[in-house]
Amino acid sequence: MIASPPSLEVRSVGERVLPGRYSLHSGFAAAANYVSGDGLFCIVSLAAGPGPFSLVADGPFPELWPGTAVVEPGLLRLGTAGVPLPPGRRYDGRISCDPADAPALRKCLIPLREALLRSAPERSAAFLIEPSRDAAFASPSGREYAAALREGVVKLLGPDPASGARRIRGLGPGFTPAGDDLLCGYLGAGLIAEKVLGLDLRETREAVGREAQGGNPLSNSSLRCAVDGCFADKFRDLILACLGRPGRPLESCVEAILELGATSGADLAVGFFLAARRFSGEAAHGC
Amino acid sequence: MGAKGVIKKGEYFDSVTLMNVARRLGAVAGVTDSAVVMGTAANKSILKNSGLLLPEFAGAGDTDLLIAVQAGTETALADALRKADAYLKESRRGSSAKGGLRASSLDGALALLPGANLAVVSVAGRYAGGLAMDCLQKGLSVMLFSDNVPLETEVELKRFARDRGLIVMGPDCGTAIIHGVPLAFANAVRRGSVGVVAAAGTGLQEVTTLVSNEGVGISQGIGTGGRDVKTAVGGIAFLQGLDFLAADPQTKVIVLVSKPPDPDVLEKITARAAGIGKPMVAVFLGGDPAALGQGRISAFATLEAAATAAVFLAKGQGIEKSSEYLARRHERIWELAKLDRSRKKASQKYIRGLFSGGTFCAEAQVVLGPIVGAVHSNAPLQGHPKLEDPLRSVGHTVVDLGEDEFTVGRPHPMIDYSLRDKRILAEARDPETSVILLDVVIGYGSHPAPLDELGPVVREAIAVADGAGRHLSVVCSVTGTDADPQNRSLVAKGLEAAGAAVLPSNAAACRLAGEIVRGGEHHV
Repeated sequence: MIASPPSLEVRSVGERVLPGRYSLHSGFAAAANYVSGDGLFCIVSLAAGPGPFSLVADGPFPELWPGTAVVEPGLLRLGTAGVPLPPGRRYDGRISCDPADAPALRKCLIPLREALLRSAPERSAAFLIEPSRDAAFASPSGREYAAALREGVVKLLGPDPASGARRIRGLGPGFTPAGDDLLCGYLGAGLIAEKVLGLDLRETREAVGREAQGGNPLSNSSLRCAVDGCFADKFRDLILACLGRPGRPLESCVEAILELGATSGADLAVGFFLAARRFSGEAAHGC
Repeated sequence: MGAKGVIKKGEYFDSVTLMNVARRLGAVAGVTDSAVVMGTAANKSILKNSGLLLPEFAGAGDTDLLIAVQAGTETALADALRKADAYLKESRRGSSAKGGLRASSLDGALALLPGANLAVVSVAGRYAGGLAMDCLQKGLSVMLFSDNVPLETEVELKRFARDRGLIVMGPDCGTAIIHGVPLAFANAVRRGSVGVVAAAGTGLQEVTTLVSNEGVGISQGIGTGGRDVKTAVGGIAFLQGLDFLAADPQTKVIVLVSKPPDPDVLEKITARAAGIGKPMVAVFLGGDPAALGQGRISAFATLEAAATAAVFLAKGQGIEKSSEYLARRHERIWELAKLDRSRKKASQKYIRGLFSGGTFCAEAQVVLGPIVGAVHSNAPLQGHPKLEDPLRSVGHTVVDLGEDEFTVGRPHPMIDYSLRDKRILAEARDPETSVILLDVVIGYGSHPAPLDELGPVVREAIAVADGAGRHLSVVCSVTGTDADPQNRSLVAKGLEAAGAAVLPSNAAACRLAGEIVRGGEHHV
């Protein structure tokens, strides 16, 4: 009389998605975040793309997600439904790079800045690279926010990065605050600068990664991955484009990353840009 | 100039949404500043510098949403906070609409999902019949959520469906679980061997969750709508559901849930059951189990008893084991009641039951009647007096807040707690109130964060009574499972922390309430 329902089809499994029993932390129209202790994984739509702790799924996204999810080898249990996990579709977000990439990294900074200024949302952290964008934060609390973010980023890019990280972690409205996304971008640029520019940034990155940890499980997982050099697909594509690798042009990668969240992708890219510019010696301390 | 704010736990929005809400609040007359942010330390520091850090935000964490407004007048503050809520809800509706493909017509929906064979119809009653018929003509079974569908339309739809091997669940069918998929107000239950046919929505929720919480699962939960078991409809969907469960290889035990069917319908059900070789239990709330349990059907007085019997049968054990199990639970309830009873003032004599589920209100009368005698209700079962004014309790009172007098122009009380919240506080102020009895129904479609709303009200109610030197007992059940979006254990723990006693079932909660006010000897 009545048949079984259609179910989600998982297209890729991030390398940080570990077996275990998870509880729903937060659900959105096209994404759901499940946590278990310090661990986390997200079910995201095709549009969001793969990430280290994401399961990319095709199919009708429920508006109300089941309260529990169990990840088993080869199987995701969502409430009472079972969804197969495809073998051999592990997403690996690491990047291989070396000093030969240095010229391309330096060369990308101007077009990256221009692309961000062209397309970044009005209320993103792009005001840090173009002061006239401050106008978007006109209310008293908005001005406070913009000033605090700027002050923290100046410290982050200056001689006391850990203090800057403390200042901006969790700063900003939204589920993943702009400060956290900026820190992920910073950490990504730090790792690339270490490999490409030969800078010894390991202790700095680890200190920033430690200080950046807060109470948001999604931010925390992203930050840990960024310290380890494990990036979401769209961020990875942007970095590869900045290194001049064949593939999508830089402009297209910027457009793609801006699709992440409302301002998350822009904030991440701004963090990457500011840190890459700082580490490559193209800018003095601060922004 | 003053500031006010609220904390919303477990509500997540993107940054642009929150900034837009803050910006719109800034445009509300009289508002000088506003912020809508997550409660991280960094954001609190911003709020502090802006004069928006309120004392109540102190305990908020990184994943709590803070709404703060500064305005010149109390009226502007209240207006802005009300609007903040509306703006957030509006954004949620907007974002969910972007979440996937949406059809704007039945044909469009079928084009998106060509293999579909079941439609959920939830439109105004006057249009529901026509749309349901369209669905049937396209080969779709129907879950008809809408109410106010004329009786003759229901009969026509159900006959048309039956003749074509389809089924119409409803009208006014709020709950179903088909092949493990919860529909409308339903819960995330384990899959298993117990099949349920129910002409009572919350009854179906209670039975399926009780079965699931005992470690046994549900094969199907088929709703029929309450009118199906009346003579005029003839139990068409109920009998179809029974046939389906009889033929379903997954189903090993069948549970029937309803108010007492009309005699001719009961006769048909009994006759059909005689040919089914599976154990069957029934709860016909308000009926006499001895008279209604005929032939192969073992009838019970409460949803709890029927669900527990089904659990033991599914485990291959006898029904008598379930009686022993419940007798032990009753012993524990009596011990709990003894503790509370000793703390009451002489004036505290009555139970005030405020129910969001009509079936629970009926079950309360079934349980409380033998313990405390007559119980006034706006939806009285036979033998209980009608409450003259549903807004004012008299003696022992149980109110079904889902009845029309409470729901016209407002959402169902499972979604909107505001009316019940006020009534809880009013009952707490009454020196005659000894126990406030509540049902909390969670799951899909229900209030997404019941604890946020009910917890403070329970605390306040207890404090109000305490301030007057009275010990108020708040007793409730939480219908749901830990797999539900709200998580039953979390809700129960939160309510207990607020001072409520949380029992495993509605019947158990009613029994505890009854034993607290009974004041007599121990009856199990």
